Amino acid sequence: MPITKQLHISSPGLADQDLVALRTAVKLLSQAGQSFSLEEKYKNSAHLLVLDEESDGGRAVLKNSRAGQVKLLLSSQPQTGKNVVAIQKPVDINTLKNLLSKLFVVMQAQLLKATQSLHADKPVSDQSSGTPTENMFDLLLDIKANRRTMEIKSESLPTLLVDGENRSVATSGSMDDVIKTVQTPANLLRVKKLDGETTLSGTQQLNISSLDTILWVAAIECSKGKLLPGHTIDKPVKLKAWPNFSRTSFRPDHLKLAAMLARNPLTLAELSQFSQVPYDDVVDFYNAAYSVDLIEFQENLEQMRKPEQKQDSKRLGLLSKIAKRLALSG
Amino acid sequence: MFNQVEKIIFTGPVGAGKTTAIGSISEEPPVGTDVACTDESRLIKDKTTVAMDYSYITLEEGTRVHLYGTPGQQRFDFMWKILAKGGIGLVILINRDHPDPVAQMEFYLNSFDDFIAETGAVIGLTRSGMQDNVDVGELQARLFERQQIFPVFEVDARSSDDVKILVQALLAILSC
Repeated sequence: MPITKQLHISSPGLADQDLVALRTAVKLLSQAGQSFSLEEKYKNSAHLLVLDEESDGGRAVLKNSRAGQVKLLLSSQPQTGKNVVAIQKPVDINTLKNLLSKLFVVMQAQLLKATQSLHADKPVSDQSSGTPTENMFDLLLDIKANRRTMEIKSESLPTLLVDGENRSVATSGSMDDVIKTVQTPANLLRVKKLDGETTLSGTQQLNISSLDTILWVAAIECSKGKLLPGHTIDKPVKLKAWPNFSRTSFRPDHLKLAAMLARNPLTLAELSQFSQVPYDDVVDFYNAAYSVDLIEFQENLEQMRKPEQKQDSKRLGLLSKIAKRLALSG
Repeated sequence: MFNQVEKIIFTGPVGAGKTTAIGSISEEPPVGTDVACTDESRLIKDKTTVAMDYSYITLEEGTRVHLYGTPGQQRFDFMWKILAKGGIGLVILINRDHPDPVAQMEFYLNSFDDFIAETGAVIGLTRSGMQDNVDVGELQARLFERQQIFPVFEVDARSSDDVKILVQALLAILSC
């Protein structure tokens, strides 16, 4: 008897009538043996996103969703694409049910294949990546940019399975093990490309981390003040969002750099000058922020800049004293 | 105008860990106004704060920075602006076990919008390990839609270092 997994659906922001149709279709399919869970809020980890393409909320979620996440779009002009299927609005329950049933079968096959690939004794492919890399940061960035699926081995450390499509890293080891692997020179790593169809979403008994979390650590550990190829120090940039420092190795200077780049677009040269953080550290921070998609390039600098706030020196002194008082232990 | 009484405000819903967070960085255990829960909050914890939590840290030269926690229940919201008046900045704690953490975050951002505009805010996503209804990325996505950029970190309110990183981020914003 084939083993099937429950498929997790996330359906944020659907109109009431569409939600009722979805609930009904899922209930009918579950009664027929196809098991779904339905979450009405956005879940990044869901196997399937069901969205109204014509609602503001649906478009926003679609824009921010993972590329590898399968989407079912409700649309008055349905168009399909990679990992995207569409259904005509207004939604007919039977049509939706049949479509979900087909998706269930297809996605089960993908999940089964992924699980088999990850638990196989040998890698899916023995083909080397062939990618020229100097360190783990280069390698991980390449995996993410080209949506590769790679196996990375380092002597005496647990293997990393890196999925650039779903932006995840699976390993049986701890985060400390991952950091040690990141610090390993590239010439001591064994890298193998896995089947391009493989995804990590169905893995079990492995610790799964976001690829961005590992990329951030790799950028800080490996950049050593060397700016990414093609990037310049005189182009103004801004942060789109704060990095999630709680998931990464914390460095106090990064708070200062993040606060300044979140407020105003600055060139890296200006950022180093204004923050008084060493240039090499600014570059490491920039590389990390760029690699996790937090950097926004600014063309019209003067229009974007907020007026400088005149800071009271007494106030700055107080804030500095509080920061000193609340310095991290150790 | 620079305020004579320096205070940092901690806010958030019932059970988000405000009292615990203050206690993890302060010199004395928070002086609280906790009473037994009689409403739906009793499903979350036995006691809740009805007026405020208070403790402090002392700087090198003896200046005290006061740490105030607002009561969680919305029926005490008249206290929030009173407590926030003259504050240095705002720490918003959101419980990731809440059924809709994104809505909770927006509620507190809206409730303190004037204070945040004058000062700044950071958001801590706390967890009790029971459920995982949101991740940092979802809160950041909503902030992006609101055209607001605030630090959002996962924190364990019991961890002194986690709460310190959150407050350090607030101080970094205020220093810009």
